[in-house]
Amino acid sequence: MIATLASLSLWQIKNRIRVRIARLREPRYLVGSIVGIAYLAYFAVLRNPSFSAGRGASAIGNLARAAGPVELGLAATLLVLATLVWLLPANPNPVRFSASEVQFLFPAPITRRQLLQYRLLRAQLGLLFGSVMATVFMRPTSLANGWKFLTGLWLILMTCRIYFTGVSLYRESVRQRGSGGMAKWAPVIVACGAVAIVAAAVAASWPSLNALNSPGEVFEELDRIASGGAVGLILWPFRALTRLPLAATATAYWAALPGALAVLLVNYLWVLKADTAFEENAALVAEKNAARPRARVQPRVRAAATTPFVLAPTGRVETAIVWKNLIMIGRYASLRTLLRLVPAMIGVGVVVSIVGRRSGMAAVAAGACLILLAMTILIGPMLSRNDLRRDLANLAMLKAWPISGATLLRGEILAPGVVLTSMAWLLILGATALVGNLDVRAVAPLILQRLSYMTAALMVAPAVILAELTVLNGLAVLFPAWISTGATRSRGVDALGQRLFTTAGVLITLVVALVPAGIVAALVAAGVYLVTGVVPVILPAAIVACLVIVECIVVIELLGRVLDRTDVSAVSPAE
Amino acid sequence: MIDVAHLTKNYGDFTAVNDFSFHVAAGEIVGLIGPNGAGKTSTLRSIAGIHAPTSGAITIDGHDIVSSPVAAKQRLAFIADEPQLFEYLTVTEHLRLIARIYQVADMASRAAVLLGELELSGKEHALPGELSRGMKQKVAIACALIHDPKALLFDEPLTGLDPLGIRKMKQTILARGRSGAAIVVSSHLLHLVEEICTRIVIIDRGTKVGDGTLAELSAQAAGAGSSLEQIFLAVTNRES
Repeated sequence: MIATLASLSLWQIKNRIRVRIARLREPRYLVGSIVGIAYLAYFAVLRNPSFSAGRGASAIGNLARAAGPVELGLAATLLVLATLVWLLPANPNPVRFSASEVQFLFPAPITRRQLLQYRLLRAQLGLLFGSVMATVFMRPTSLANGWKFLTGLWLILMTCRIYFTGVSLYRESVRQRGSGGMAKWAPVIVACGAVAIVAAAVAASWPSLNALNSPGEVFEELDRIASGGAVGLILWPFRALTRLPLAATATAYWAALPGALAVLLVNYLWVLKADTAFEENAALVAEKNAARPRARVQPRVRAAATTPFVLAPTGRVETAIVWKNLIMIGRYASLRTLLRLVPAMIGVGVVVSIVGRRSGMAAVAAGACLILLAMTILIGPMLSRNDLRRDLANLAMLKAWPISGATLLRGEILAPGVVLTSMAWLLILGATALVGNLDVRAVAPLILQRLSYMTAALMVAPAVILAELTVLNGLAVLFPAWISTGATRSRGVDALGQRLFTTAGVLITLVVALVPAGIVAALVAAGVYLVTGVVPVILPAAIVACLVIVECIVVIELLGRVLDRTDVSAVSPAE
Repeated sequence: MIDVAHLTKNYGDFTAVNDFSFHVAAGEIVGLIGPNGAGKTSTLRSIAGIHAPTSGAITIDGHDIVSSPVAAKQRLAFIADEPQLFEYLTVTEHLRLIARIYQVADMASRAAVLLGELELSGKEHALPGELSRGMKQKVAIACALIHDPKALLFDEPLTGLDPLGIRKMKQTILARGRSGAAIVVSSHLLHLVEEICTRIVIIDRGTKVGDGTLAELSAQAAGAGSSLEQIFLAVTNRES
């Protein structure tokens, strides 16, 4: 039976590749593939020191030079992840199946264990693809370096996947049986206990660690702590895995392989031993996903909450669309959404803490505000898709409404515009209040200066956000086939190329949109300076804001006409 | 009320609808039937302004769907076979949104009547994810009827409805017809079409192959029989 299921996986892979090759006849996929392959080739070849005579640096080489600390750091990270997965909300659907798999495999004479083996087998392709991509971006200097890193990383991802599935199956089993007490809490206690033992060992050695001068000495001390006793035992399975991709030589790799394989095997046997009834949840989820194939990664909608404002039955239609899209933000914002922001927050935190060593807390907070402001203005419009980009999936419904394309576009663009502008304004006010150290003797001029910069920023920020949103939504109108509709994100080399292509298009168009306004503002500012000797701040900002907003209004009107003529059949699914 | 004149709709090289014409007067309920891929949905989507006609003209209450789309759509409602709802809006919020789009001043009273008529009372604050397919279909119908349209397009209106829902749906369609709305019902359920439609248009491979009352169609397809099923199989040459 496993052979048949393996054949099924192979047929699916073969047909998927065939479909991807066949669709290269469409320009969007062909251009996307060319750009995607060129991008990968750039990293694999041009940025690889072994091909480009030292023009780039091999990240794998850098990792190998710090193999010891990296191995230990990664092992500690895996330990924390392995513990967190017991603490975070449980996944009620640990084993995912497609609707067709549910229809054909669930009623077939296949055991639950075989179904599990099949799903774990199917997951390997994605993990292998991810490992290949990571290896390309790490720029190995030789084939030997490359395959050691690739197979090592694949083994880590494979083990993690199996472990996470095992944890979810165990927790679901406990839930189904209604068990509490030891069955529920023992794994949590063991996992947290393991972390606590490691943390306690490090804490106990803190004074001696603090006394060390060089990072090399600190690592040696940490390695000593992590290599013996209970800590060594706890970290052994994690280090057995992380040692593999970082092995400096083939001998080291082969020496590390048995340990890593043993960890993988133990996890695999543990998962296969599970007898959790996952079929019902899997079937329910598959049925839901099949009903909306374009929104496979649609986040779960939170229960109905209050609306941003009461919508009157008559008035401007744009307001209704803004109202709808603001509700969308509220209903989709969830713990999972916030968790996705964690890496960005950690990044900002690291930058702020580095800055914080040299200045006071107010300056640090002001710096954080400015970094977040830049992110809100430049990246915010790309990330927030509560506009036409998401609504393209509903275009058939929207086209049946008695409203013009321009009206629809204005409403769609205004919703993320309102949210991002509010965030930007808050950050500008925060930065203004916090920046620098107030000198009592020079309070008045300093405040005036700050207020003028603040006013200028308050005027320019919404204009830039509006311009970027107009460009992004304009791309959705002009090239709907290039946009991932709804919440779906297409995958593959062609999708990577499409995204690179559209991002470059957005940036170029944005610059083109801002340049005329910038030139006019600069000329006016120069004139004022020549006459008065004062460098104006608010006036050029007001000119930039006004001109950009006028440009956007005109462009939206023109795009609306295109949208009026857009045939829904032109908007095909991304996959 | 609904005038379709020489409609042709191509998708690339494929012609889905070819030189198709028909008229639906106020108060008339026209059944649009045809085999799979005959062009029924393409016709309805073209009338609704979702697809742009390749050639031909479509007018709703005298307003051309291409040159005056807003005025034409203001008088129209299209109920798709698959209910299209926003996952993040509740039932009431859907009605509120659609009412604003169609500028329905007395939304509250109309919504209350529709929710009762379609047995959605008690589900006002439910999200689509909490509703069955049939209930979602009812929400889509409530949204379509909130502005009291003069022309109604139903694409497979009974899909997913339970027996009571089917009965209610038939009553709703008949009531709208009696109140003067021009209605097109596209369906594979020939008994439904036979039961509620005043006239039937048969389309096959994008071309009209029959148009008239059941008696007229029976006369046209001489010898085929008197039931719509027999007539349909005869005029679409699928008897064998």
